[in-house]
Amino acid sequence: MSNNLIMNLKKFSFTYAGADEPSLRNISLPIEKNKITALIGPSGCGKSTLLRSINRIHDLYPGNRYEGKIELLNEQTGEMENILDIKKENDFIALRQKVGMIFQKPTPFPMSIFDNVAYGLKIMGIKDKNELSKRVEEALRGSALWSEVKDRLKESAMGLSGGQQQRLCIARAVAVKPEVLLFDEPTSALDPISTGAIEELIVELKQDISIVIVTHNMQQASRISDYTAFMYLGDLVEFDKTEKIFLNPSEKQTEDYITGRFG
Amino acid sequence: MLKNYDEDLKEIKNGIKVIGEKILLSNKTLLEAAKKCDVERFTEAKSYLKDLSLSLNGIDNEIIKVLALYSPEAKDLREVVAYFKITNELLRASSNTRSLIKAFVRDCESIDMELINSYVIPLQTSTIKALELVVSMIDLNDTDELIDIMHEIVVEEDKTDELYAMLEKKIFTGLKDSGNFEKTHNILKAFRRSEKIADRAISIANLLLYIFKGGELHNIR
Amino acid sequence: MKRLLTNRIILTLSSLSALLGLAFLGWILVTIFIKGIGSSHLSLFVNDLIDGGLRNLIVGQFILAGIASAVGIPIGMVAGIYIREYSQDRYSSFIRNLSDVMMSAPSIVVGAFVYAIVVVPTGHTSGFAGVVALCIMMIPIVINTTDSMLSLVPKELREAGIALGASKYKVIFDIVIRSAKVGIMTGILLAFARIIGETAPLLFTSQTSNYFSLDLTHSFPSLTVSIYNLANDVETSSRDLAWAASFILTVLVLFINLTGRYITRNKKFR
Repeated sequence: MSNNLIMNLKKFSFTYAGADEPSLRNISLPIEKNKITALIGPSGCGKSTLLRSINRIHDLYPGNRYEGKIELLNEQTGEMENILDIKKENDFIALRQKVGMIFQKPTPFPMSIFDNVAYGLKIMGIKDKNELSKRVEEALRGSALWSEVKDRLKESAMGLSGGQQQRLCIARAVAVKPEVLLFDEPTSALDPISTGAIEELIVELKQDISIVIVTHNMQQASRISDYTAFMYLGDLVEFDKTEKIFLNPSEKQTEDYITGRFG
Repeated sequence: MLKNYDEDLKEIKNGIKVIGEKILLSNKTLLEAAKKCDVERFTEAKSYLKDLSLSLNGIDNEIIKVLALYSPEAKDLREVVAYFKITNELLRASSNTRSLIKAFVRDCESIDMELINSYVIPLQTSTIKALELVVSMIDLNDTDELIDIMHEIVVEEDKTDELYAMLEKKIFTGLKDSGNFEKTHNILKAFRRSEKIADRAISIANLLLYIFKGGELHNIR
Repeated sequence: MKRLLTNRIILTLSSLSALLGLAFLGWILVTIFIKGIGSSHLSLFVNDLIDGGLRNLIVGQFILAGIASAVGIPIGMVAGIYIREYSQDRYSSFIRNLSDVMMSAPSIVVGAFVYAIVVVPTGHTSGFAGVVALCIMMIPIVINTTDSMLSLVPKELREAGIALGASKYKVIFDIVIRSAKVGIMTGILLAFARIIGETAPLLFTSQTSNYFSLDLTHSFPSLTVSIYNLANDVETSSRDLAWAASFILTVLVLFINLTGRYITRNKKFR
């Protein structure tokens, strides 16, 4: 992997509040720019915990302990900065505007479709109506949703189907032009057709955004990702190009998981 | 459909087609060269087969990658598995062509002109026709069209069988006169390659038809 | 075969129990309806109690409940938002428990308490004391309902707001409260329906009055307290009036309750 990293985790460990043992142990993981990195592993391996550390959403719930570093590239200075050092609210907000997140359950806000997509933009300080309209349309087009909703932008987002709602959440996240997008099992609550549409969307998005995706569906990881990380019980067992992991994994644990011989 | 999946499938199909065309071209050039025993053209024919096994290896590995990453189903699976077997057939066709060229280079001068004109040229012409037809099948999508072409290939392949049998008979009767068994045997072995190439064409055509017709994969002759 | 029989028996018993409960409810409503409608006439809404009507009592009850709500609802809502969204677990569960205890406090005790802290120092009963008592009853209910409705909002929704860069305050007001809006409003409506039917807190605090009054510094007309007084009166006409008043009160409370359910008929509390 070249020196084309957008993020870099170095010996990162994480312990939940009140837990004795760390849930993540010494994870070192590079995230390459404009590529899709998948995190796979059995339930409880820590992949979602890891993903949620990357935008520090764990900090909503006090008492968690971190060790090691999670570095994010500062586009202006060209330097890698450790996001675990962030303490001020403004810095947290800036982090989350650079590193967005899509959840497993579609989470449309209880407002109109337009207001949903514009929400992040308004937080950024964009007030001009024309600018907002333009960016909202751009984001909805980028999420392959524009043609379906352009005539009902003022209607409530709750009236959309599951697949549409998830694409709305993606449009909402993409509107603020983040550098990294984190997907936490984005299609596990959706039917196969919606899943296919969102997978195609994610592959399109990587042109502009670097992507990390957690999935319990191995085929999804093999279909769309460039790099795959296999995790087990809080450890990073193997990390490599997806082709290598699925054709020729180095670790027996990885091979057992991929071939379904686990447990 | 996922873009990368679609692209990878197209790349494999294209690779197969390119190699098929090269083998076809090699055989065509060989025929032209044989008419005049033109050494340069023999070399040209051989050049088209250069590094073919390397390319075929590459296609095989691409197919394995597609199987690992995309879990193809139904027609996609049949397609990829058919191509996997077709690379073998192409490899054999290529090696048959190579042997044929080698034999011609060695014995072109010494073979009876009449034999060449009456048997060898028609034999190779039919083989070329079979190859041409099978290469044209690669880009087709209609099952009926594919079946029609398949029938035409069978016709050509039958011709090659017949022509070879006649050639064999002719050469053996001539053997009584000249008495050179080894040389005769080698010449005959060489021309058998041409007939074998037509066989390969049928196998490949069968596999291409399997992609669309489905059912069981079987190696019918 | 035995299983089928057991099934049938349990089914029959459950249905009978349900019918029994409904039967009593129906009996109460029918009794009030029959007794009440007989004594009702339009002049009830025109005359004050001094003239044999109920106008001052109905208006008075609304005023008491109204002012108590105007004070109690905001306090209850803010407290509910605080314990659900802002405070840490141990502290918020303490407040939650306290609120639950307050909700089950006997209403007569609340009345006695307000008697001691407002009526005694001021020297006389007042509408103001009545409002205080109703307020004390209302706040825990609103806290509870706000807290419950907010808890139904899935945590992913909050996380999605934070993940977009919104501050906690924005997430709570733009997203969470908006999501729970309908549930909270219904809860408030039902709390109001509860309060407007209370008697014990008003018994020693604002008592009641036979006259139309808007003066909160003295005894204030109350429908519920008057029903109590009228029912104990020797005169038949008083008791008839009590029936009519009960009927009107029942219809009122029923109406508010049904309105609340109607509003939430289509909303799913996901």
